[in-house]
Amino acid sequence: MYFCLQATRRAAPAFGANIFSRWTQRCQQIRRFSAETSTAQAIDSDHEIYVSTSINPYFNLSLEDWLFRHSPETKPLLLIYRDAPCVVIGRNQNPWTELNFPALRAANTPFLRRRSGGGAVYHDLGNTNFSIHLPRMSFDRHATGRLVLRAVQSLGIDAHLNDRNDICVGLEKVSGSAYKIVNKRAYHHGTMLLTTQLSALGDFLRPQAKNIITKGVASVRSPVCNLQKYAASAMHETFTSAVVAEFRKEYGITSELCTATESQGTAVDYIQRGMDELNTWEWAYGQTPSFTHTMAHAFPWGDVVAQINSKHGLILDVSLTAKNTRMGATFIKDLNRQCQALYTGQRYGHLRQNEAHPAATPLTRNLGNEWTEALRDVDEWLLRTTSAG
Amino acid sequence: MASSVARVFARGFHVSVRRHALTPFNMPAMSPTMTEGGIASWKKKEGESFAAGDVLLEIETDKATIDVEAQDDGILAKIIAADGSKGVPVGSIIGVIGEEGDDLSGAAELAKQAATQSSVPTSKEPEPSKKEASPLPPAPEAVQSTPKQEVPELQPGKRIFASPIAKKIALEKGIPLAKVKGTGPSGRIIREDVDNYKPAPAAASSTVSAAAQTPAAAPSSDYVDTLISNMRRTIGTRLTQSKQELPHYYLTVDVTMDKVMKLREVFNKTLSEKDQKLSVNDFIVKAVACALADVPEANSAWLGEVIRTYKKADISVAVATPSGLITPIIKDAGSKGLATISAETKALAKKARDGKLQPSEYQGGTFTISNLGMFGIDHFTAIINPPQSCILAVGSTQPKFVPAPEEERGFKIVQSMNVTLSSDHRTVDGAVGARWLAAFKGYLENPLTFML
Repeated sequence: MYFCLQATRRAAPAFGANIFSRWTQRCQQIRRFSAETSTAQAIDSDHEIYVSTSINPYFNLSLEDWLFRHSPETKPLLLIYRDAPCVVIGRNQNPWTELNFPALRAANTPFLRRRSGGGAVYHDLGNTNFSIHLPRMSFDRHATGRLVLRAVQSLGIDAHLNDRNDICVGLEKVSGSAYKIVNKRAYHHGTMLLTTQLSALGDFLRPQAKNIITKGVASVRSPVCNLQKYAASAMHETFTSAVVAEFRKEYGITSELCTATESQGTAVDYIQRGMDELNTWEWAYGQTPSFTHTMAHAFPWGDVVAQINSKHGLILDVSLTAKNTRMGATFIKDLNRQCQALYTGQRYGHLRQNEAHPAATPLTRNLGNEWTEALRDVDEWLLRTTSAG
Repeated sequence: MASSVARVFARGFHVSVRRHALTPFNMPAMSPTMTEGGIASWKKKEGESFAAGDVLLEIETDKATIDVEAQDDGILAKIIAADGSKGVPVGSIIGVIGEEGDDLSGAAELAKQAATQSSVPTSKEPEPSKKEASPLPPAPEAVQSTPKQEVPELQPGKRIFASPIAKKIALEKGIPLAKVKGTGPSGRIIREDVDNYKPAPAAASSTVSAAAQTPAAAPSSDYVDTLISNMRRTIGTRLTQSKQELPHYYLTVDVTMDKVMKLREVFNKTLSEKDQKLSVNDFIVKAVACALADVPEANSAWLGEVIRTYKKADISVAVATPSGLITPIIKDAGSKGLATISAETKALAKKARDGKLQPSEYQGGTFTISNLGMFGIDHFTAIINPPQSCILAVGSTQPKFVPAPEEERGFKIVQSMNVTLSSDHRTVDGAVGARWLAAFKGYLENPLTFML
């Protein structure tokens, strides 16, 4: 039976979704030919400890959200998962001020926006994520932080919690945390660097765009290191066991842990819909808080400064000023008018990928040659500077 | 007043107490220590109605995204702090809420007032700035309306002519009818007069500059208005609810404290080397825990479908802080010694005053003690904190003459302390409460029995 990837897909899917859709498609094909039963039993939300075998970040985040919304309100719950290389930004962050899009593109690494707050993190198979869900009334981020800390310490590592509730060894951070609180439940989830490619982490989380003033939440940068630097035994399996053991001890949980597979999970409609939602432009980019991007360029015909105002990933307006220009007095006014017509309402970072926009086709103007050239220069420049790929 | 309301309801009238009820919606504190946060996104649009329990907006503070839910039904009349606002101080106005059927046009006005007076950092975008509104448009109105209000005061004793509904609204709003000018037939005070009387004090009260957590008040010679902080609001709602819903009854007893005083002196001599000092309150906490072990029914909670009887006594100790009343908890007091109880109480009280209590440290608890003895109060009755079943109100210790046939003089002087137990009759019957109080008295009058 064919579970994933229905044919309906909105225009311009989020960058990187393609990789996973292709990957999952391949997995589906493999599964169809394998001896494994193809009618997977849907996962249930009554267990207290879950370990996901999937490395699909879209799946794992949706599984987490489903467990958050559907597990019994009063029971503590633990979920552990790992993702294939990707970058995850916080709910209210601006991807352009947080990420290095050229590097992400070159490495074919996707970015996702999660539902909890906080900053940007890099996931790969050397990083293990934990997620502790509790009733809101008894949720205490320091208590859950200490639980994970004890798990790390049990591996023989002298770690401590800093004042932002992140686990550190010495001056370096090994884990980042974020939280989500709703009416009756709350969760504390976080990363744990075990054997992550730190060079990739540094590269992807180094934003290239300059001069963007954003209302989004900014990441707090810290030097990081892997736990394996301090204990050779620190790896996914040992860390997972340690966290599970501490969780059992703290909350007196004796029930069996549940291994969650992707086929079991995607049989749940909520999870499938969640994966699709994470994949859409509207969620990944469209949730970006307002920002203003100012850029300058010296063209042969003049020095131009452009300011783009964006909200929810869409361009609200573009305004340009020009200096040292030999073009006529009305040039800049006309340029502004053309740019407003062209770009307002377009998706920032995906100019001209929205086929529905009337100005989607490249410029054709019956202005004088000089002006057309200038307009084309500006257009190419804006496209280049803002492109997220 | 309750009876008159009941009578009105019995008649089948719909009485809308908050007719012009556009109320400011303030940035909530999601924990006692939160001072500011960011507005991530409003989940309702301007003009959209919502029900109690609906998520109104999502805020982000300190790496947590939090859903803020509506407490009652209403309409989101105006959004003042838009999506993406950061550093919004707790308590500052972020929107205007109205009720179904309210005239929402006043919302824009209220929003303007809020924008001119509050220190909420609004969007830096080139929006037509509300801050440009001329400062305090209501102020000139207030000045103009007060001359109208200067009515020759009625001589004391003279009857006030006012319509029943005007009287009711005036009573509810605390407006002195003697000061209201009547415009009805024969100078009768009618509803409009009472409603219009509102703007003068209301306008003055809206000239409040909202500061971060303790909003400053408008200077006036006759009164001072303070914006209601989240803590005050919570205290107000919970205690009102408790008084209205729980069938409180009170048992009072005098406890002879002589032996406690002596034992305390003895222990403090030993502990002074460790720089510790026991207070009378520590003995009281311990006695409460021991009595709860003897009479566990008093250590219970009415949870709607079941009565939960706790096995451990988690005692909430009421602490007065500058921002209001809070009750940090001493968990499992029965298993702790006096010194431990003393140290924990001091640490928690300090944290409470510094505003650093964690939710787990003040939420929960199975029994509360409120001690006003240090203020010289003889006797008082306290309000139960639901879902707990009891609260013990402790007064001051004073010398008292009691008859004593064994003494030569026929009397003796003892140190007597009055305590009053407020209990919820749903879970604690009179006899049960009395048994508990007798057990408590027994332990406290013979503190060495703590050791049993």
